[in-house]
Amino acid sequence: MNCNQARTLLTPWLDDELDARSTAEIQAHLQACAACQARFESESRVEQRVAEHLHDGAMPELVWERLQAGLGRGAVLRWPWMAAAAALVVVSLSLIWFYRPEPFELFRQQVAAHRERVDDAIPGALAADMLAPITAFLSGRETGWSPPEPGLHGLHQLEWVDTEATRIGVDEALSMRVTCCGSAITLFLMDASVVASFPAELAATINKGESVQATVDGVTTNTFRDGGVLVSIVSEHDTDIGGK
Amino acid sequence: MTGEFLGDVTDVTVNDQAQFVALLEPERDALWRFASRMCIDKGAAEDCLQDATIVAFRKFDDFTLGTSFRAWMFRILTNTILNNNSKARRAMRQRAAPVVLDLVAAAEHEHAWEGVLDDPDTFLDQVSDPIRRAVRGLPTHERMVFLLRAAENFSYRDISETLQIPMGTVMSHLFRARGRLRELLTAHARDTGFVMDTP
Repeated sequence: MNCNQARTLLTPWLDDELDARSTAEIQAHLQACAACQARFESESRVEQRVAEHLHDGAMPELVWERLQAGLGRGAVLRWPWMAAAAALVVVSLSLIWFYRPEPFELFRQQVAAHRERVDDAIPGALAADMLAPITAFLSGRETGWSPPEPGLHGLHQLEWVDTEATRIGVDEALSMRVTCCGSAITLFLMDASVVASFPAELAATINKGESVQATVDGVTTNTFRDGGVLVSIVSEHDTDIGGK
Repeated sequence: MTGEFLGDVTDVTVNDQAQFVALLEPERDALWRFASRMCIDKGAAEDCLQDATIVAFRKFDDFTLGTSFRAWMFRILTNTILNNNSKARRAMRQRAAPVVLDLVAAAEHEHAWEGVLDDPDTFLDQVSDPIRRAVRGLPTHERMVFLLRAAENFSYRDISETLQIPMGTVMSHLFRARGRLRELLTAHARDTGFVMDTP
């Protein structure tokens, strides 16, 4: 094996992917060739140090706790009918603690999703391609809710930006961005079944058809249920569009 | 009757979850490192991991005890990431096109790289952030393959099975990723005066 042949095998050698015969040939060449030996050792050192630089960053404890907590919902989804029966009896007998996601976490995630896309909100008309996903989302869910029409609503000037299928946590949601008097607002539609994971008192309030308001870092969320749909309006602007 | 039935179900769920968490915990830092470097920010990484762990837990019955939980979990995580990035998924399946060499640039590049290799430790002591930035600058599919190999020590076969792509494609993505990283690092070595500009 000459130097050129040896160097073509440098990468698989570094990755420990050579067969026994090629490895032996390389070793023999490296013992005989100081230049290649120095080169291979340096390249190996670079690989090792790059790997060390990338081997940083432990998972924050809070993330680990949230991942484990999220499995509680995974368990419910894994055995839907058994878990539903389990949850019913567990709640009624109060014998076993059962994980429930904090609903304000859901509001916090909605605010985070709203803020993530707030800067590139360019308003326009409510077009057919924005309306189609909404119609599809509402279809099959018994609800009288419909998206607010663009235009003047009292003193509020409403315009549409876009509509997008998204997720809040693990739950499917439809995100609708609008501007009201130039301020960005996001409306989220979610399946009303998510209310079942809220604490009993809050779930009862929402199930009665009342609106729940929460403020997260100065951003207001107004959430209410309309039949099979949960509507949340996330806004930094005082508005009454579509709310209750 | 209902109580007995419920007790059994709850036990199964709790035991299953405990077993899943026990297998997941040793991999938590590796999964976090990987997701953090593959996603746009820490929040997106957490969302991605949350989705992946829930999917994994739902499919936990499919996992064969005694096989590599790490490989199984990475397969689900990489799939979750690629599900949100169809462009990267397409690129992942395609072998990298052959590199057309500019011989003059290649000679300069080789010279600069040899300068780095003269004293790799001194250079690499200074470039922690540039390395991370350079890795983050790789195209998604190359970054994924490179991180599995360099940071997580997956073999070519492991990567091939995790990403469901042929070994040759793994090697071509890896070759291209290393080439790009080397270019970025030699550019940094030149910019900081660590190596001379011309041969």
